[in-house]
Amino acid sequence: MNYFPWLTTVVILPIVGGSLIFLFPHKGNKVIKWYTICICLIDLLITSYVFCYHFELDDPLIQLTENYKWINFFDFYWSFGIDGLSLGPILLTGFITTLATLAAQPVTRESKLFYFLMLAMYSGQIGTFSSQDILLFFIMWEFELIPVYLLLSMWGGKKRLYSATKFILYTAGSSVFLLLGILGMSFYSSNEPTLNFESLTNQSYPVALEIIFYIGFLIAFAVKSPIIPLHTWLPDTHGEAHYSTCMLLAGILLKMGAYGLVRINMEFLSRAHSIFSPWLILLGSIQIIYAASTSLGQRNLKKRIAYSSVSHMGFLLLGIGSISDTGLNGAILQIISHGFIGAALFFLAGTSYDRLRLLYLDEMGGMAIPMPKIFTVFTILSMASLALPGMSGFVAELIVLLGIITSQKYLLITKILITFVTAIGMILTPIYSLSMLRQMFYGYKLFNTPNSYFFDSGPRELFISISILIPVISIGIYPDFIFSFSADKVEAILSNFL
Amino acid sequence: MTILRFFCPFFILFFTPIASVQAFTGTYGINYGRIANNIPSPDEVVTLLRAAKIRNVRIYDADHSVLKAFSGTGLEIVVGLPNGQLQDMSSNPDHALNWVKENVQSFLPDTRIRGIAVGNEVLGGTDYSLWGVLLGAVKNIYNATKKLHLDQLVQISTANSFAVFAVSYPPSSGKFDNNVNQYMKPLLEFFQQIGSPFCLNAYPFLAYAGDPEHIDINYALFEPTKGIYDPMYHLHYDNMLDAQIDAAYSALEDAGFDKMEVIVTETGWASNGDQSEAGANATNARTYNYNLRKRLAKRKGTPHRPKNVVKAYIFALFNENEKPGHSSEKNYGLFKADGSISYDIGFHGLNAGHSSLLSLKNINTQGLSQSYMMVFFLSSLIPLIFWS
Repeated sequence: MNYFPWLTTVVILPIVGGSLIFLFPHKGNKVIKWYTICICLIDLLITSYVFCYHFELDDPLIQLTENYKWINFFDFYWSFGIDGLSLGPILLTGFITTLATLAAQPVTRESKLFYFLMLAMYSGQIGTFSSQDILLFFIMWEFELIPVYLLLSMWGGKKRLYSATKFILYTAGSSVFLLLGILGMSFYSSNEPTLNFESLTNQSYPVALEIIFYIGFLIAFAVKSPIIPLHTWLPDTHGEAHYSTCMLLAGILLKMGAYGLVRINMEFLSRAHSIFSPWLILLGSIQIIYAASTSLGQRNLKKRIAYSSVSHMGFLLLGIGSISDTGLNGAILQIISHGFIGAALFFLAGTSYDRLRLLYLDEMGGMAIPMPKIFTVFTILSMASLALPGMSGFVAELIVLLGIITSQKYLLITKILITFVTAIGMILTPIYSLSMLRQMFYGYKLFNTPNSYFFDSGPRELFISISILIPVISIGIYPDFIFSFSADKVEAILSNFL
Repeated sequence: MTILRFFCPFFILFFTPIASVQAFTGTYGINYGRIANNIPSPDEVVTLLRAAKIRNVRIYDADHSVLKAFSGTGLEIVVGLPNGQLQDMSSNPDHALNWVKENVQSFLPDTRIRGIAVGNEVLGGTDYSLWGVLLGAVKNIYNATKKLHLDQLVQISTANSFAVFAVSYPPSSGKFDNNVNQYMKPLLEFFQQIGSPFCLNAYPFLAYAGDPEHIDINYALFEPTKGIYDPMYHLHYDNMLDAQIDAAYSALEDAGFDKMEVIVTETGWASNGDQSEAGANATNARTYNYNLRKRLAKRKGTPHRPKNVVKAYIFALFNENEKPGHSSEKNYGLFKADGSISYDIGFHGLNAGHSSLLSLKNINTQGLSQSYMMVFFLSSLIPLIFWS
């Protein structure tokens, strides 16, 4: 057993390091940027070290546990711990945040505050995935809304205030349901609140009450994931946010909703999940088609990619609703996979905007010739998004579908219908993805336009793109690496449904 | 139409069948034995159990101070009817009714009493007079709970030792002892009627201590081992507890009770013992109890019954200094008599609950200072570099 508070260290380090930024003298943005990158790298390295040397993959128990009494009056603990479910998202958080910080080089206005908010968000996200106390989970969940709101409202596009307001209304509003569910579960069986995840896992409720809790949590997580019809804040947010913020949103923030669905709705409220899972599957398949169709109609490049994200979240719903070993492992893989691919696409959209200053696809064209490197990388990562075999997206979607087909819970006709509907969505993905490439890169529309910004990717941008491409291809070729994280935990969760 | 579809889950609610009475939440429980003069008070035990996040507790009597302390805590408790009272309960239904009123009904619903264990290791035990009265006592206690409308809430059971089996190796050969069988069969028929499980006290430690030359200790401790192969079932066993549980399932099938669930009501490993008791040391006790905890957290069944999730109560909560018999009997506790941990399997003792990062004394005693200073120094170095 290891006694050093590793998780507290990796949660506190970014925000403490970020606070020190304000002590810096005005020596220019470069110092602040590299300082932030170093903080991110150190945190990522500490995380990797701890997970390599102090974490047992075959152990479904919570590990690296820390319990410090925070508020004695009602038994509230600073309680951290991780298992196979939270391992992947935490590593993903470290990886994407580091790259997003590197991607944020063009930000020059109020850069101290900008980088501080990036680090604060880092802390909030790892705190959410590490938390083993449901009230602490809520606090971390709320905490990371603040940096996103500020990042959006201060460094966004023309309609940034509208988008920021919409974001905070949706996400803070849905948190009310999260809090209601938390209070209900905590006070159900005892005169004192039972807040610890491990105690709540072994709680049992009347079915009616379980359903009510389930709906409360589902609304909160549905907004965050997002799940239709509670998704409309996301395209607006992505449409206006700086692309480094988009990387954090697509790569990490959305994963908190899926994480919550598995951790709380599936693990704590298993009977209600059995009742609701057919609806989740129906909703997931509708979402895949609806979002893909909507994406096809978007003129704004970032909104098109945003709806692509919404479409991919539908696969998560299928995996979570399948209640099968294969499906749930596929859903967890999809969390990781889409984190990489979504972040990469928003980064590439941002680098394109840096040059063209255009976001509407019908105004673009002919980018391939002056910018062959961007063209190459953008094409490859679009292939990843449309789930080309050999990429992580393909493996995740394939395994989710296998989970549906092999699930013991549903009738064969139902499975065939769901698979067929999902296949339509999978056909739509290359349509909007390839048409996006065609409108941006092919043809000769901008061929003769004199523009001093028309230069290809430099080493920084190539480094970021290739850094994301390597895990995408590695996972696509060897997905067992990710499955080894979650396999034992998935078995433990699914044993509730035997 | 979409609104109606959204409300459909509530219609399903009315058709959900009421689950049978469940005395166990999750898979992990603990036996709270109190044959000692130096263990913490029941109130402190509640604090300890909540800190350890243990919810399922078995006691061997129905002590009122314990039941009061457990009131309003969310802990689920199985009370015990001691062997000494079985004769009286068997011959006097009114006494059984009064016992249930005084010791169960009067504490519900604030104290979550979820089961009554009628006797402990009666069949196969040395007191033969109790064998014949156990069934009567069980029936009278059950009838009492039924009369008080508690039969859907409180589960009746009795714990059995391994002595009830004539054969238990290989697991497929499990069979009840002939002498026991004439009393066991009617009892099992009654338990099947009321939906109670077969409760088994399974101790790989006792099996190993009794025959260390022929039993691989790794097999008993859940450590990597070549295990055993059961030719009749064509199943491989890599740990002894699974084999013991499957032996019980085989015996039940042999007796005609294919559907009955087996719950482990006692299992543990002594951290100290007599010279003649092989394997009784703190290292083995930690290994067994930690691996058992991991095993239970995976919520798996046994090779023969993969869908029946294994549930177990650990023996025991504390070392008990007044227990008779071998010194190992006094040393099964996960916690010492003062409430601190006997060995570390992830639980916190009573005193450790107040530790804090702000307490430098604890940091030093836990050996944190060196690695913590390293990280702190590294973090401080960075702003200093950029400041200059």
